[in-house]
Amino acid sequence: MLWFKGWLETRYRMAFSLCFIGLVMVVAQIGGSKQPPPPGARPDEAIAIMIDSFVVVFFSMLAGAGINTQPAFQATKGLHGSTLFTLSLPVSRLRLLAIRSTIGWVAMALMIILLCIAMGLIAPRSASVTTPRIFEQAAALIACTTGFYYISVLLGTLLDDAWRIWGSMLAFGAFWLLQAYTPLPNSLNLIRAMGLGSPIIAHVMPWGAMAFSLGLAAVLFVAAWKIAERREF
Amino acid sequence: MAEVSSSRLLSRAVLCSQLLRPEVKLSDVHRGLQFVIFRLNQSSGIPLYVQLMEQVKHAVEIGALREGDQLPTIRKVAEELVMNPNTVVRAYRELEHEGVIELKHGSGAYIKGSAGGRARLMRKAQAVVQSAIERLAPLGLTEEELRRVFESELAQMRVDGKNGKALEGKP
Amino acid sequence: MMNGYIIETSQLKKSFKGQPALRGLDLQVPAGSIFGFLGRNGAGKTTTIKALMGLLRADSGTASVFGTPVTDADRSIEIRRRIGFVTEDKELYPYMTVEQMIRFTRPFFPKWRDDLERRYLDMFELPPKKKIPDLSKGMRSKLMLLLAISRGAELLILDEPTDGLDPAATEDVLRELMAIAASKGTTMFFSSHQLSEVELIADHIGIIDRGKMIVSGLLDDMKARYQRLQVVFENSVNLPAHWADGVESVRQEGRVVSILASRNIDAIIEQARSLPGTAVELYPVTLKEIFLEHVRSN
Repeated sequence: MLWFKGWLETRYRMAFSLCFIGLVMVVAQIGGSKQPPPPGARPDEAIAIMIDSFVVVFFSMLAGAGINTQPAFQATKGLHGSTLFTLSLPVSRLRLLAIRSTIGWVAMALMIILLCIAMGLIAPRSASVTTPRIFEQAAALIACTTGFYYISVLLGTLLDDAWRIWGSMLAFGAFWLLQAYTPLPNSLNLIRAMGLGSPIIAHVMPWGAMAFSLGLAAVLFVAAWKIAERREF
Repeated sequence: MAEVSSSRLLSRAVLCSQLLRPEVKLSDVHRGLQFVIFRLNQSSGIPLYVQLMEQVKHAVEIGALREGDQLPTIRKVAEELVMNPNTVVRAYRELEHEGVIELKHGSGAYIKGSAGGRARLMRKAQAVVQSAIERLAPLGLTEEELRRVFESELAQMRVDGKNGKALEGKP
Repeated sequence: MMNGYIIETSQLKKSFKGQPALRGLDLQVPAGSIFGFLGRNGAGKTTTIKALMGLLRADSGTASVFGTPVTDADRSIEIRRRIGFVTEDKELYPYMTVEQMIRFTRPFFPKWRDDLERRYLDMFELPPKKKIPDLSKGMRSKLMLLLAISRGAELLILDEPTDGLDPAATEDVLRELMAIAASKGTTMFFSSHQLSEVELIADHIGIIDRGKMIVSGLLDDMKARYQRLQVVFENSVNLPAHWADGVESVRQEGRVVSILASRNIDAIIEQARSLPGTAVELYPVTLKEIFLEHVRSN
């Protein structure tokens, strides 16, 4: 029944997020297509540039948007006041957190998949933009964003609504700065794995980065769980 | 507790000549028993179980309940009067202790034959109070004033009782 | 269960940002009792209830429900399965309907009573398809009570259960609670400001003030112990400097002195009578007077 509750909580927020992202995409596409690709660049590199130029903002939004589909883990009046009811049920906080974070993650994953499909439809056909590639791309993006997503989950157990989204975006931004100015090994560079290192451009799956991201996610989840256990209402 | 009970009995004798509107009726249609109980007054200061006991005893006195009649179940009373069931249990137990009812294991509470003895005393008391009221009539006091005089004397009796003074027979 | 207490706390302390909310609370709720938890706003009632429900952790002291410490994480889930809880705010999920709330809550409780669910849905006139935010506060309270009672719990913890209910609804709710108490022996621990209601249905009460339990026990005992003595003087006279032991408060208005005593009434009466020209009367005391006396003097 917690899944049912999660679905009810999520459906409208998810629809909104999807529309919003779709809009941003369309705007970006229109904006992007106005810029001529650098001389000699192959069509698929144009996509890479397109991705690279807005990946920071984009995916950080997705990461934040994912958890944002879930109501805050708080007990203030109104929506959040019902948290007291939830916590009085014979259910562990671990389970509550797990279900809540999974639903947000699924929302995020769906958004990424749709984004990739849309990209595949918009982008000019070439050898590298094949259907399997699109799904590889989606898988890689999902895996790499998961790490950032769980930063939002962790922040969500600690802080207010606004901070949950900004928090992940700040983390994303900080990481982007870090990798822009310091050389990082490919398996740690999540930003690169989502841009230049992603399947469509590099023609390989960034397994290292994906593993790192998922590992990070696991650690963050455990931290979030421990905090949720200790929290008072 | 004993002096509280007897003072309540006497005031009941005064009040029973009035018509009090019953707020809640307990009826056991299957057994054809009409049992009228008034809503208890939680702010009167008199313990609720005592009030309930008085109601039962009063019902016996006026003949609403006779020997062998069955009282409603504890659950029914608790529900109808919105009363704590433990309080009802206590009232029933005290009534059993006083010999007004007997609790037959498994089948319920029944009015005992000897309860009629109390009713006879009550009728005697009623006669005394009736003559007292007749004698007070020339004073031209209102009903409220008469009641206050009575309550005040009762309270005095309570104080005297606590102080160890016996009830003397006064003209 | 220790000594038959279904809820027991000992020296429970809790502070919020340096402000103490509970200063060593001792509470004993016997199994099968109907316990009225009274106190002014801010005295610590809701904090106590939240501590019992594991919503917050006390700084020191112990608290146990069904004999199990509330801090025991492993068993706390099983404890909550046996408790019906109504929160102070009566907040439920705003995106659900009445029906959905019931469907959502039911699977958590294997002892769920479908018959009670149907009964209360009908009796409380709850429209199944209505969304929670469209319900009045009274309806939300009733729904929460339905959810708490239908789960077949052994213990009901109710924070202001009749708050926001009109007199008819209050009557319905109290009647149902009494029926449940009579048939199942369910223990009820509830906080309330409605002293007249508490007086009617509670057999035990506890008064909390500024984070401490100032008096608790059987309601009938308390009412038997407390007496009000009214002494009327023929002319104004100086009050004695010291009254006998057991006098809780003395109030004078002109020639009438009103004394609240918690014990030793005979000695006090003696003293009153020894004063010149007095008429002494004894009156029983209501719960409201007991309550006000305790929280005012604290």
